[in-house]
Amino acid sequence: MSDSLSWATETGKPATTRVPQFADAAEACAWLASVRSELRAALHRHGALYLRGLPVHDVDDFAKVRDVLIPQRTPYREKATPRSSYGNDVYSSTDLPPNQPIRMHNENSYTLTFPGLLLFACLTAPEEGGATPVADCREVLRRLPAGLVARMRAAGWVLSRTYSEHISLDWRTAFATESREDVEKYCADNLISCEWDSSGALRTRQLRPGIIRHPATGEEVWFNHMAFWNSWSLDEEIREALLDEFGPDGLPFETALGDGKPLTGEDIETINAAYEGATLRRTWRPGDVLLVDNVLATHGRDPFRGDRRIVVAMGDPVGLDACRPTVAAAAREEQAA
Amino acid sequence: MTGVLEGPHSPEPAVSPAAACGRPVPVDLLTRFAQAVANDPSGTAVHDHGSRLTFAELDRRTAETAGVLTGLGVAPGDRVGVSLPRGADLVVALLAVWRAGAAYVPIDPEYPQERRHGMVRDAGVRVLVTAGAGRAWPDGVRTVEAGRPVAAADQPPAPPVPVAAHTPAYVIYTSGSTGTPKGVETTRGGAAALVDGLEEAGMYAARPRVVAWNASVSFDASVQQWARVCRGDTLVVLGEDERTDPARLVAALDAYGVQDLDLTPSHWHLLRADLLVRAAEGRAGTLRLFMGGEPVPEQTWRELAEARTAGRLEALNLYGPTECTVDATAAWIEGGTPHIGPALAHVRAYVLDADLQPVAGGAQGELYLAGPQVALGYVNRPAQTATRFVADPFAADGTRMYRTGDKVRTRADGALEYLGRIDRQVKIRGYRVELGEIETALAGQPGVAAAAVTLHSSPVTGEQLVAYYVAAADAADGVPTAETLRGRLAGVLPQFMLPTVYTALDALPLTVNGKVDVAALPAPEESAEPAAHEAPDDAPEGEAETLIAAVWSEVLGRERIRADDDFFAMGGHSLIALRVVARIKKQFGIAMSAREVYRHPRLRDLARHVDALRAGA
Repeated sequence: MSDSLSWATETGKPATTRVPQFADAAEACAWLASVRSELRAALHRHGALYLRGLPVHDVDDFAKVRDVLIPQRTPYREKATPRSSYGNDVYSSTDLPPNQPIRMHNENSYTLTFPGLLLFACLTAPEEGGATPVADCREVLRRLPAGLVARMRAAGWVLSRTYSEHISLDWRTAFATESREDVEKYCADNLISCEWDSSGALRTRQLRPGIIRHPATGEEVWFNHMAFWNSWSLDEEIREALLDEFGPDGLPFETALGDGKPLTGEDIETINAAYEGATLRRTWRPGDVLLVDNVLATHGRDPFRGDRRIVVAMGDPVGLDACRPTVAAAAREEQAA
Repeated sequence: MTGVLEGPHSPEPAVSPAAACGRPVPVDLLTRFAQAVANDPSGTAVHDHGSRLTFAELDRRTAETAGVLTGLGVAPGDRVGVSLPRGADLVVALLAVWRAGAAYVPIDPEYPQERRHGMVRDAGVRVLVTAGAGRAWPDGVRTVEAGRPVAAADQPPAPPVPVAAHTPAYVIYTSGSTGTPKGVETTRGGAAALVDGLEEAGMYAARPRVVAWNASVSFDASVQQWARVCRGDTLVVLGEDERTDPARLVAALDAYGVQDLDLTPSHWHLLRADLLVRAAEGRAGTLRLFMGGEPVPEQTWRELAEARTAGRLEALNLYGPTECTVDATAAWIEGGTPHIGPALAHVRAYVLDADLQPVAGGAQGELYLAGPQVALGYVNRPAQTATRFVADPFAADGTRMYRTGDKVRTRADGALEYLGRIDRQVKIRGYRVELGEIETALAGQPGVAAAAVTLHSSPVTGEQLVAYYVAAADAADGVPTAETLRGRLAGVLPQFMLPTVYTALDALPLTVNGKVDVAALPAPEESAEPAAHEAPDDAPEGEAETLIAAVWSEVLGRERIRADDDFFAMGGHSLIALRVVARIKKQFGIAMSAREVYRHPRLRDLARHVDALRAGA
């Protein structure tokens, strides 16, 4: 393999290379195609790669780069966050308010197929903050206490969602349909249990493995949304307001371990601390491109001020089956008390 | 769905003035309404939330109300006030006014009394259709209660009064540069020409459609919505919450199978995510968006053009001043860069220089509009009418053309490109505002010698109206405070025209020509050194408002939150709603649902709701 790329690995920052100067996106794409296998190897080593200095000025440029780096696209499914589509399968990274951080997660860890690759690019850099931090999930796994890892390995994790009218997304938006039958069919096909309550809200539950292996490298990773969506990750004020309004069984999102034993606030704190310890971040500059292996690395978003336009595309779908899960994915009926 | 009937969508129908002359004179909308009633009497004319009105019922109720109006002496040439919220009763009232041969004058029930009464007096309104008690009207005005069952014996249903094309159809008040709103009086022939023109362009489909009605009847965009009932379309009345809450809007679109929806580009920005998701599903047929009210930004144009190519949405860009009956030009949003298209079939568009000479192809000039859609003029303002409505030297038949004040250029393909305003009219949140009108109102306040108002935009505060004023030398009570001024202006101007920041200056900076040098006015942030009298204006007041504002500010990271800010316009998100609920519980001990935050999107209204809960607790 040629060694035309050199990767800077400063402490606390993702592996970064400064690309040669190109006249336009087409020239850059030709170069990217020529170093594709080298990029893939580096990505397996580092989990996420920062490419600085590409001529990516708008959505069209981004789409061109995406077509080289992620030949097989995936659309955004089982919507969980407001995003805008820029067309051509390019999305805004998230439309959540700027001063809200977004915790670390692997995209779509709760679906049976998920994107293997994520590509972010900066079209407008915010005045302040707004990085897309990444964390190596092999490292996260190493940092977690053995007890918690053993429970996850043995029992997996359960995601419960309630799609009500006002908080988060309602089911019509999340499933992009008006038809309950469509939702039921989607759930049945995707190993999700679902039920409708008297108010017309939809509740779903799904059991998923939380530790899997990368399909190419075979390495074991912590791969789930358990801390991300656990109510203990919310700040106390929001947690209380949600519990007041919906009760513990009707939260828009809640997670648990598959063994049914309770998770404590400390457990969730421990997981969030493991992510934090493995987190790398770099301030966005316009034209920066971040390639993330979605199995090997998590991503999040730092709060920011000012205009920020980060676009994202996903692709290279990976089936959960290809990742040697320790627990089989399954629909999960309401737990007996 | 209707594509086969409409044929291919030509982006440029290339209607030349000559071709326009070849199109038959459009049929009056009331005649068309009668045809629609005959074609499908049991079809749905109006969906107003729970209730549904068939064409036959709408016709019957219209005839009854027209009978009442005729009984009160209403006749062609009269102007009848209509002060009702959007809904089935309003459609009945508008059609009834036309049936009696008169013109309607929409008067927003929410406007300050002074402005409402000013409109009534200015338009010479003697009879007014309203929702009964609750609002005071000037002496001598007879009110007719909308929706009141009329005993058939009281007033026989009136047959439609036949009218000529130049009979007035409605008077809509727009912001005026001289300081008072001006009533634009349009004609029945103009309204008929508008509908016919949009049909000719294939933009109103040949077959009846289901149309959302979301515009306030005080603005002329409402005409291209409600008047479609005359061609047999079904109206779906949208409430304020449905207009602004994406999830509710989508639910309403789906519930009633809405096919055509009007939006401003700013509004699109709020709804795009939800509409694109819905469109991607393609389950409800292709939604047609009628974009208007402000220029379509390039980004939005591209996005809509892509959606169209993908077969997900169809979008139109409509342009037109109130003075030319709603829409004068129109374009399908596809390909390339934003433009406003060619003139509609009954409109002649000229791009002229200062000497009224056509500019060379492709050069910039001012847009003038001619043809039957041109309004009669401004009510009671012959001088202003004469300035803006000038003789059409190209028709040379005594008809007039309207001087838009808009800068445009003609592209090689014949479409017009909008380049901005020539004068000082601005758009803020979709509302057309003459800065001069606000300046005149401000300068008219006691203690104020001179005033200037600008539109300022910054990423932190968004677009806002900024007022500068110079205190009168002999001001008895000293320099008036921002609070005082805002309070006084709120009595004479509608909410959307109220400046948010007030800065006192020793003198207004002037250019060599003696005009206010707008560029030399201090930017609102730089005019810091907050003197005691420069309290930030429209600042939240009272415990509840202050608390809610603090939460919004914290969650959105915006420094300035105003009492009339709107939850959805601020990027309303469930996190904010929850945070407000939590703080209110902690502070006041009141249990409230996030749902209630959504129901009261304006900060001040939510605060009132909280106060009411506290009072009841």
